[in-house]
Amino acid sequence: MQRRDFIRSSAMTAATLAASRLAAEESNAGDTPREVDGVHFQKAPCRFCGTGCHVQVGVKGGKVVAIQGDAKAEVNKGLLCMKGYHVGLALYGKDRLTKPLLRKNGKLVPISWKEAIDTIAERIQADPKGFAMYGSGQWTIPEGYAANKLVKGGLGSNHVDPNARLCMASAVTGFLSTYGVDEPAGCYDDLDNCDVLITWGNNPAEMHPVLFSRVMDRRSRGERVKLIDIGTRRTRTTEFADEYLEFKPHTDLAVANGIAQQLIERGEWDREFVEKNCAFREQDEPATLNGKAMDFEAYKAAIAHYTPEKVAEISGVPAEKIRMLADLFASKDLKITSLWCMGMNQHTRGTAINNLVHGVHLLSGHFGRPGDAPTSLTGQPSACGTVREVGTLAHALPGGRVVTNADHRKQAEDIWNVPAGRIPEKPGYHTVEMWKRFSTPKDTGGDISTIWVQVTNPGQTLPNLNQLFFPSRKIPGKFLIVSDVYPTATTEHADLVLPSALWVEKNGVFGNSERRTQQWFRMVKPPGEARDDCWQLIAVAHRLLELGNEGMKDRDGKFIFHVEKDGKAVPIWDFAHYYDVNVDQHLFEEYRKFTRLKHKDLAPYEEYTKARGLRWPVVQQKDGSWRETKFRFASFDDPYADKSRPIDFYHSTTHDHRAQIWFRPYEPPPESPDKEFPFWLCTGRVIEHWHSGTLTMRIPQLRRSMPGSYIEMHPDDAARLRIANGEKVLVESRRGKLELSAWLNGRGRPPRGSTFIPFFDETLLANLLTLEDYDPFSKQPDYKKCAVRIRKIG
Amino acid sequence: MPISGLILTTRPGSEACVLDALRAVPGVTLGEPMGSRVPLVAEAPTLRAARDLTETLMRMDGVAFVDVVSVDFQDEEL
Amino acid sequence: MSVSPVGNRAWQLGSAGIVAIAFVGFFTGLKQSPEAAPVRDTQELEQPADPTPSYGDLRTRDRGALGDLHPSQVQRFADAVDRTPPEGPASETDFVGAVAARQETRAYWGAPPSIPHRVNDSRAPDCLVCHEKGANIAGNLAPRMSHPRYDSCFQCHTLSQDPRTAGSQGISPENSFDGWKSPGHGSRAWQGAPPTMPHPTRMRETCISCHGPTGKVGLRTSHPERQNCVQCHTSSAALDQRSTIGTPPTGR
Repeated sequence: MQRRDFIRSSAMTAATLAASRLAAEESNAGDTPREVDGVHFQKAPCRFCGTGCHVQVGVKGGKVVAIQGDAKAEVNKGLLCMKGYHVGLALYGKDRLTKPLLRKNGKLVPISWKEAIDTIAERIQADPKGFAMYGSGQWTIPEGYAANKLVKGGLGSNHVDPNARLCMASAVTGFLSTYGVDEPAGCYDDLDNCDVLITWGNNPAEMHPVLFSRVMDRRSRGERVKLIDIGTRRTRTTEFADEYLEFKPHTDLAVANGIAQQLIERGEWDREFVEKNCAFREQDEPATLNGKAMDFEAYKAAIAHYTPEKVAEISGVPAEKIRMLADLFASKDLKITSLWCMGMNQHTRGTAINNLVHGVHLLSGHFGRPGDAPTSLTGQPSACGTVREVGTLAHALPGGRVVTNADHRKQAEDIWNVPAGRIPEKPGYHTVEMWKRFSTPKDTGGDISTIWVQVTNPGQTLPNLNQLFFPSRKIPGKFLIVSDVYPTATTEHADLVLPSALWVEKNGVFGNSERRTQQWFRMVKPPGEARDDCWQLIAVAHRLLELGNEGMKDRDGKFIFHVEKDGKAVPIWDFAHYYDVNVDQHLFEEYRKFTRLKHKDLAPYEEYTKARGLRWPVVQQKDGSWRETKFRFASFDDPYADKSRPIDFYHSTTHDHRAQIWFRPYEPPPESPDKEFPFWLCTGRVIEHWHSGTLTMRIPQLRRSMPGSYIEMHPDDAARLRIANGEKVLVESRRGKLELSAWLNGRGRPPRGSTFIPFFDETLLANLLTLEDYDPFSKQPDYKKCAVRIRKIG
Repeated sequence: MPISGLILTTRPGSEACVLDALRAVPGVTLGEPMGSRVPLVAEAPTLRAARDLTETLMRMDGVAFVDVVSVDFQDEEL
Repeated sequence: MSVSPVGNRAWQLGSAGIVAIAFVGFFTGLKQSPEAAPVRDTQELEQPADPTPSYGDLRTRDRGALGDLHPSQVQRFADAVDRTPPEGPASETDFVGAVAARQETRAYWGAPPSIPHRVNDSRAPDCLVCHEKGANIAGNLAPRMSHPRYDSCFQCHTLSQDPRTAGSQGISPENSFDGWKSPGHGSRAWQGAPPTMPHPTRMRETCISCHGPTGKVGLRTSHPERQNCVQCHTSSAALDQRSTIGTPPTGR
């Protein structure tokens, strides 16, 4: 009998433990901070990439002491990557900026916040049209919204552009010209459902590791997932691939066209899907983003040129591999997800290749079922949230609006309650143009005299630094203001440096790659006098108001960042009172009003405090709850899709519920290797470091793992140039030169004639070499290819 | 005599009536409910009876799902 | 050729060349100053290696220090793990030493450990060859991994040294982060009661990773014959992110 009791109690223990696990996984809605061993845990999205993992941040004694993957987060399901596990250390590098610094007699010297804010306001007041704001996809949504409102709604200027212009602008133009509205229709759930994953010039094993393992771990569970890596260099992703298709740089357009040609020639395209949901499009003259219509016969004739043999000749991908890709797309039983990031976006034909990959999915009907999706990834935590949705681009307004549309301007002016006509019709300067004009003297057209940089590092990440960045530092009258957390390649050259609060040192909201809006609260205090970027913007706006700038008043004469509590105005421009109210919540609720027009509806701020992010459109249900949308345009899930059809492209550029299948020919790149500069150069990232390395190079575990930059090249090329592994080489392009060491058979392996340099190292600036040529529609430069020559040193 | 550890998931709103109904089922010992999950131990004279009991639980009103966590059948002839 | 997915274990164990590469990492890591490897042809590297290379092959192909390993050798490494259980509970000194040693490779308690040896950076991780079961290589213990099988090891585990053949700068930036430390022992309800788990079980589900024969002396269990650890040792809901569940019974 005793034994029975024991078995019974064991069974109960097991059942109870299992039940508690199940219940824990289920209780996604609430967020109760936990306390363990005096460590207080709270949720936050990770500070780094656009994947948008949630972490549990452990705080003890006012400091972050631990990080855990958030088990309740759908994105990462409790896992993180090496950057995420060490994100807490990013706050504690020894050289945090703690005081405002002004350049006096060539040296940066500490000044008071008052002097710093006065200096900025006076510069703006003296030349409001010569002022530009250079922001970031790392701006929180409220920060970007405040900057946009300050410049467009307050100063009546459109000179706001973000670093995300360098990062995903071509994805935006791709979505707009295909579907009429920005951002992916699918979401990460596609990764759990696809049978085939195609990575187009993409290395998620290093750049989006959590998403990559979300797919690859399905193999460990016995599921079959075919990975096809279409790239220009072998990477860690290639190591997991079933097929590796290596194309000559820039010829991805030919590969995509080859798939379409085969589908058409064999009659294996999805007639029903295309006839119901698609139309064909081609370039007009002069070229506009939306092009002109073409009929199917014309499309068929145009695409016929791209036979597998022709594509093989252009791209170097064998004809049978093009046929293999076509076989996959022709099979309706398979679910195919395409992923891309910088390879397709940092491309002088970026919009075109984005169009083509969408086109292949549309033509084959691999769209709208879970697992069938063309999905672009973002590199920054809020490139989607702050840049694409808040519209912190020189041509955009919040909620998918554009400055060139009179209705859109009026809507923005009404929500902001600023006088009609405040927002100019003409777009401001996009990134390359902004910096070009900043690096040009005023009398020769350089009409930008002051740039305020927040949360980004253009002194390292702009292309062709010798042309776009350094000249400004020698031209009198050019004033560079930089808000950052550490000394960077940009602050080094700045005239005024403002110390900023970082990540959980402030409240924030990010928007990730799958339309997921994620909120967090301040958990620790910033060091020294470092303060929130958003506060800095509001303080300058208020100082401008004091200086008599009429733009800082709304129609009723109130400050444009007026915030009330219990019927009384709160002086949020005074940092001592900034946290008397939740400024983030206030700005977010105002911004929410913008989000309905393009059906990017957001829920109230309060909802996000409870969830691990929600994917828009978030629509309120009859019972008062808020429901997120996983699959846009698919009527089984998207509340805005017409239920009478399975797929509804309700923002179609042609207003007929159709998406556009583009014909985009392959065209050669602006610069190719030649006799003088015989090698391709591609730049990019590594898993350890996030972008310019400002944060990750200060984390010992990450820096030890990857302490410096290098050039990858093919061993045959190295042998010919008598370069051994680890030897110093001189790399030169038409624009600059750089000395670094060669790494042969290293992490990535470029083919003969190609090289690769990561850009994280501020002591070895890859962007001294790169090209500033950009896509004509997105204005995004091409960091992935230019011509260089290489010489062994000594 | 098989002894199984089970988790029963109730449908929203029917937690209380399911618990009442469960108390009346012979051979079932209830654990501490956690939200919609109820851990329980079920004892039955034979394997077949154990399976029938599980199916009975599954068919009860207000029950969404039954997870089988463990089954002890050391005394059974398999 | 393209490398087949790592998911196929038979492929993995059957390919001695790949295995060799995994071990090269380990052994070159033991050298005082790793020499620059000669320039190699990737075409050659990408070919699947046969288990028993010819002499000619050995002469021309760089397989590293253990390039001629036969797959059975891998099993020998696993077999070399001393599975004799400790005679009794660990001494406090051993325990404290083991906890401190764990801290060395982690930024804070709960962080994934960094990899203390060299690896071949250009390959899909071959870590599972040793770390799936645990191994003893010339006295160095490769612990069995503590979590379910994930293939993308480098996702979480950083290298503790520059993977590049040369040009290491060895710089460790100054950072004042003071990570959470292990509280050490779990609690006991009374003298002689089984201790509770002092750490989360997430990503540490495989107790024998640390508490079995490949674990550090001081952490190993005195009763490895009992397989179901959670029968007696309770985990912590708060550590496991389950703290929102339930409230303690009131004793009504």
